[in-house]
Amino acid sequence: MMPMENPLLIIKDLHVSYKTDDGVIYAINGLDLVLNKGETLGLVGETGAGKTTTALSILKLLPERIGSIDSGTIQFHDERLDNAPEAKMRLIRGSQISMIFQDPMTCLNPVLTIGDQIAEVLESHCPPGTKAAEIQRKVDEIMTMVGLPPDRKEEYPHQFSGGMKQRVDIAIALACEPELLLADEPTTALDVTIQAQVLDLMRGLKDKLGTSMLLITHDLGVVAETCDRVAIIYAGEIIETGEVDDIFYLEDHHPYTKGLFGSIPSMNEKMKRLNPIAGLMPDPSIKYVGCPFADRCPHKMAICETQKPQPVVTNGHMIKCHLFSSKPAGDNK
Amino acid sequence: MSNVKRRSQFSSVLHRFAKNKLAVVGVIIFFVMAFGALTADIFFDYKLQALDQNAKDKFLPPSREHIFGTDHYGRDLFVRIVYGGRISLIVGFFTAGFGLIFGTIIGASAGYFGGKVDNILMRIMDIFLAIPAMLLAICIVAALGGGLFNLLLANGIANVPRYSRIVRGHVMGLKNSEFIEAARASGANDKRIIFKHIIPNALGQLIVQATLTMAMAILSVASLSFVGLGINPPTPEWGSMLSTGKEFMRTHPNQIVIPGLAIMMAVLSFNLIGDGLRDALDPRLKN
Repeated sequence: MMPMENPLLIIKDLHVSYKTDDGVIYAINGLDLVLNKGETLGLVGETGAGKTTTALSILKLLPERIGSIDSGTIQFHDERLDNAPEAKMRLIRGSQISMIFQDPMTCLNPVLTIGDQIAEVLESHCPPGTKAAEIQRKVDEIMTMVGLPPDRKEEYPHQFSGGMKQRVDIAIALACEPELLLADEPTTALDVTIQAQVLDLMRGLKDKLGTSMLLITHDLGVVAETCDRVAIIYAGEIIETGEVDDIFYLEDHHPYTKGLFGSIPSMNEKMKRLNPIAGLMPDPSIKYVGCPFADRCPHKMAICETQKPQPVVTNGHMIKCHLFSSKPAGDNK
Repeated sequence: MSNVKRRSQFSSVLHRFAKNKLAVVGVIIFFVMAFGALTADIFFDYKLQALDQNAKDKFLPPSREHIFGTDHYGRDLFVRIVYGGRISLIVGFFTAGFGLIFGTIIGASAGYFGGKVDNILMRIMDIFLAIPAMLLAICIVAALGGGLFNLLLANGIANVPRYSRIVRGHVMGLKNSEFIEAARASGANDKRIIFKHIIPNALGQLIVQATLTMAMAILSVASLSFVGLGINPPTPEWGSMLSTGKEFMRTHPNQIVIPGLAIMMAVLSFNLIGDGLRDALDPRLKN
């Protein structure tokens, strides 16, 4: 096991559920995650796997009265966030942990100017008595940093293109130089050219400001390009994590990870058809006993249905699968 | 810095407003009315020209001296219309302001906090809504007596539920929108979210509603006075002028046409202004 240098965020055995009128949805089921300082961790999984819920749990922004953290701990530095009071969370949000949302089109207020919206996060976190001119100067500075001309700060969101709006979001998220940035599919709504620009920008700023990043995505290409480590999430559980190289180049994988890679076209090999993973994710309203992937797994064994696999760690590469439970993962060559 | 910005934003709203010709007509009517109401004391003698009876001049036809003619007591109709406008404008503004302020506070709290707060506040509003606004106003006036202040109160209270419903609807719709979540994720507190993010989004509709309320309040005061529950004669008020004028409408149609037109123009001007403002205030319609 690799020594964990400087963990910034530690999530242990997190359970989150949504209590809706139609019943309880178990969105996160025993999620463990460690994010080190200065690191970019890619959180990869299909729709409904619990990626966004994880991010919202960290910020404690789960929908009121519906979503709740049932058990487990979230530790940021030395502080517990899972039971922190709202007043304290408000101070953390935006200044120490901030979030970039998926759709830049809808996450800016249509009736406020761009400058006002960037200034807002500064106003919320600046010591009281900070002069308006000082805040405006910082707004200009941040806009320049993300590649927006500061003289456009009087304009409204509808006057910006999608890529520029995402830059505004990034500017808002990074305005207070947070230690942790939660990026929830920041490039999904953008076209490929703009995607590359935005990713470049985020990477550059992250290095410059020394921010750690949790990058939520379902795009493995983005992961390969941006992340240091990868965590694969399935049905609210991390089923495999490791360095990017572990995930992309090692032989041993969780069958689900293999399935994910089978779902993207390869540039090198001749492939007739892609191999998508058959079936759907398990019904989140039922608490399953065994491995959540069992129903779709091509290597299903009897034990998979009855017992939860325990994590097997080899050189920092963790896999949660019964295939590797019996022997150390590294021997399976 | 911020002054420059506000002016430029204001001027762009003004520019868009000016493009709507009908709205400009509304503003002109409104300004004429407001100018008359504000400066009436400079040009006319309230007691002498609007109140004192002067039987020998009764039912004079429109002339240079009496633009709209005189009424059955020989009072100048024009002067009385101008003074009546004063009451209409006061009632209009006060009613809209009262509804706007209290309705927004109640509606925003109900919509934003939801649950019990919402239930309690909105059920109270429902009780008010169950009584027709006019009837409610009549009840309040009947209980507290006539007079300008009670009229203002009656109209104001009758309008609060409507505003609180509009604001609540907006808040409920916007509460779960992504930019509110984003604002929360950047550490904004409830007060900031309500006043900086939600109210400005609802402002366009609120302003339209406010101008419509002014129009309705003018009508409502006129109707109350018409049936004798509002402003009592001899105080010049459009509704009561209409009421006394109706006795002479066959022989002297100007006795009802003039106050009737005044009411109509006032209501029309507020409606036109409301429409113009709604379009001008929405930055999404900006070119």
